[in-house]
Order: sequence, then C-alpha cells, then structure tokens
Amino acid sequence: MACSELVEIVTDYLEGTLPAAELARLRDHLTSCDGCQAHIAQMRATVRVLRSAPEDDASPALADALADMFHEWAGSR
Amino acid sequence: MGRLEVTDVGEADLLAALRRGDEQAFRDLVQRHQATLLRLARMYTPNQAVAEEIVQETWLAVLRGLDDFEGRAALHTWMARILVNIARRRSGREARSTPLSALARDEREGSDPAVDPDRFLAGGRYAGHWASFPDDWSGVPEQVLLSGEVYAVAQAAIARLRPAQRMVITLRDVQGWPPEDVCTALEISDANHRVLLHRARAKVRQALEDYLRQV
Repeated sequence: MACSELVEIVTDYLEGTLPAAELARLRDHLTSCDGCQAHIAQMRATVRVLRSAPEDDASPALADALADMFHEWAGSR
Repeated sequence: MGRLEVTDVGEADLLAALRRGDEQAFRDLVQRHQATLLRLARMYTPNQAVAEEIVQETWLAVLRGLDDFEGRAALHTWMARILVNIARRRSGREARSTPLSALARDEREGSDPAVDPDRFLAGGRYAGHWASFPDDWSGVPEQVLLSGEVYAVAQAAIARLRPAQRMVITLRDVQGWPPEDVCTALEISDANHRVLLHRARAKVRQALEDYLRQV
C-alpha cells in the first residue's frame, strides 16, 4: 500500500468500516511506515481537538424570547 | 450540556410533560439542546443574533410539530433537521436550495485529496510514499492541543469548509454524535457522511499542522 492510498482510507479505518482485506493491507503497511503512523496520530489528535470545543453561550435575550414564545404557544393550545 | 450523553435520559417524560404544556419541561429541553442548536445555527451565520433567531424559530417549529413527532428519530436529530431546513431557507446563498443530500452526492465526485499530492514522491521505486514525513505530534502536550487556541484554529478551518462538510464534522466531531444520527439529521447516506467527514477532517488536520509548525 502506498502512503498516498492510506491517507484516503484513514477515516474508514478510524470509523471501523474498512473491509477486512484492506484493513490487513493497511496494518501491514503501518508496521513499516513511521510517516503513516504519524499521519494517523494527527488525525486522531484532530478529532480530540474538535471534541474540546467550548460550549456556545446563548444570550439572556434568547431565553426571554423563548419564554414568551412558550407562553404564547401554551396559551393557544 | 448539549452533548449526546445527556440527551436521552428521561426525554420521553419531558416530551410528554411538554405536550401537557409544562413550562419546566420546556426549560429543561432548552437547557439540554440549546448549545447544539446554537452551534449548528452558527454554521450558517457568523452573526450571533441571527443564529439565535434561527434557534428561536426552530423551537417554535418544534412546539408546533410536537403532536406529529412520533419519536421514530431521536429528538435531537429531529430538531437538527428542522434547524437545518430553517437555516437553509433563511440563508440567501442557499436560497435556491439544493438539498443537502445533493450537495453531499456532488462531494463524492471529483477529487479532493486529503493530503497535498506534493507531499508524496511522484516517481521511482517509492512513488506514492511520503516525500517528507508528517510532523510527529506526540511531543505536543495534550494541554496545548486541547487549549482553546488550537480549537480556534480548527474552528476557523471548519468555517472555510463547504456546507455539507461543515455540518458533518460539526455534528460528528464537535458535538460527538454517532454516524446514524448525523445521517438521519442531514438526510444523507452513511457512505456520503464518511466521505464528507474524511474531507473535512483532512482540511482541519492540515490547518492544525500549519499552525503547530509555527508555535
């Protein structure tokens, strides 16, 4: 397997959707390729960074608007 | 709050209470889902006020559609789908509305290499192998990686993605949704979702690599 091929199936690998034969080829390649090991580590790290996102805060105005909206809805039922 | 782990606990009870007009149930549901909805809305607009309008409109549609919601999909995927439709309708750029599923299909055609082809050897015995190895990030401390600063770089990269890629990576990786929920909310196939996720992650990875080389 060429490294340029591995980088295109890395998401299938991380998602666990790679067919068995390809998975075996990928693992075989990984045992001898530090570059691809580093690449996969980067992809995993990228996902960890994304999971570290802080929550977005809503403004108090939105809470008030939602409360008003709820009362109107509940009143019309 | 807003992450998947907390959304399923007691949600059926909250919905039943909401159908009876229980305001506390509404507040609890808002509390649970607000961050996710807001983040999704922010995918469509950089403007916080507009994003909040989209969220408000979504809640109104949720309340109005409550009696028709059969619970076949999870509440969060149903709400996400409502929000996406509202946001897309409002957004001028996408007003002539190509369905997201069509945008997703387009992504499967054409090439969009995950890594710059110049990073690989073009010929010789080792054609297709790394010309220069990717950086080893194992030396980057986790507290640096998970600092807000690195996330901000990732966020900027997400903002530059095409819409379908942006939605998929936001739901899967930022919100931590499982693949099936993302596919339901965005009405795309599992294979399409994986192509979109792959391309999106590849671009974010590249942005992080560029950034981490400088620090």
